[in-house]
Amino acid sequence: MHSIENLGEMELDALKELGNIGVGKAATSLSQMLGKLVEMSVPKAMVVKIQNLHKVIDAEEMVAGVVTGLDDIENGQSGFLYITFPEPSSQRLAEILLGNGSDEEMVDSTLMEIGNILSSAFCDATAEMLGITLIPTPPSFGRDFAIAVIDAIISQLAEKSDYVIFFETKLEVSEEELEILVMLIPNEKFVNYVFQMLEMVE
Amino acid sequence: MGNEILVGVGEFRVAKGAVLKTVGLGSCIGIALYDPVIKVGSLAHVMLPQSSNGTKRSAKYADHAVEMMIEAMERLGGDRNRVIAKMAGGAQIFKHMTMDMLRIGDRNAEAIKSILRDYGIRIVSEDIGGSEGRTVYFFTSDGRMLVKYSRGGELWI
Repeated sequence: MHSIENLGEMELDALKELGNIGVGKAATSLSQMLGKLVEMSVPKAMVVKIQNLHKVIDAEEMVAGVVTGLDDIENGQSGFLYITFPEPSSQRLAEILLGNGSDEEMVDSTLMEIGNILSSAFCDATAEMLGITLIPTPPSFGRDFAIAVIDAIISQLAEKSDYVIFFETKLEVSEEELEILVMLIPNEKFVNYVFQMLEMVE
Repeated sequence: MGNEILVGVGEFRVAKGAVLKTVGLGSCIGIALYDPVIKVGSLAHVMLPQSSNGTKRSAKYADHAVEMMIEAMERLGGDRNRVIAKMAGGAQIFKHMTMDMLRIGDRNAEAIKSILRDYGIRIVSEDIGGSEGRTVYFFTSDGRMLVKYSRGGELWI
């Protein structure tokens, strides 16, 4: 039986694959929307205990964060997807996509839209890999310390789950490479889905 | 800032003399307890107001955290009748929010106040609410607490 805290290399590879399918689909949608080639990949996936979050992310880094809920039509809420754009990445991305001189409101909506696209793409990826239909909720948005933005969500799940799945994500557009971080915050149902997937891999 | 000890999300630490620090408080709350006579202090980064029956003891719940902090302070010679409290956090970070369940900052603060009241622990100062994340330093040498805001600015409480 698997335990989420000590996944082997093969299991982490399977998670990375889930991430890559998700961001790959998102990149296609973004390219179409923007009329520019956008490439995205997940070079690394990892599972992190909530108490150790501050060791993995710079807790005091300012980020723009987009959160969507992942709803399972059969069983209700299954988890959340949290996408953080570190401050330099979010500004640069807005400049590339919107040109200079766009106001903050406009930048915020653009980042939320990217969050929307990413979470829909992740839902497609889980449908493909796990055969589970998930529907994303509309995005919530905030700018603050990386942990402060999501602690409300982690708190919601803290009673049942102590882990977060990290997808380090690279986004390339107009020959520039930007770092974003995609975090899957699963509740226990989603963790079970992931185990089902890992068992299929083996 | 001297000897600094980091308190992770959902954890607590006790110290005599060192600076206890917790980063990235959003809707979570940093609770500091202090025995001014023997100068022992404790800081917790709590996520949830109340544990449900039968849950494993963990400092992520405010009720458990307060209990565990008092016990740990007493092991270092503290006395619960002298303990005072300071708290900071409970912000509402999301600018655009579609999920109402995420408004937990206020609920956290209220719950913690009532727990401390039950223990007879007086809250001497607090910095709760707003829309900014906080990092908190608790100086166990003298009981001062420094709150730093994510968009700059700081406050001693």
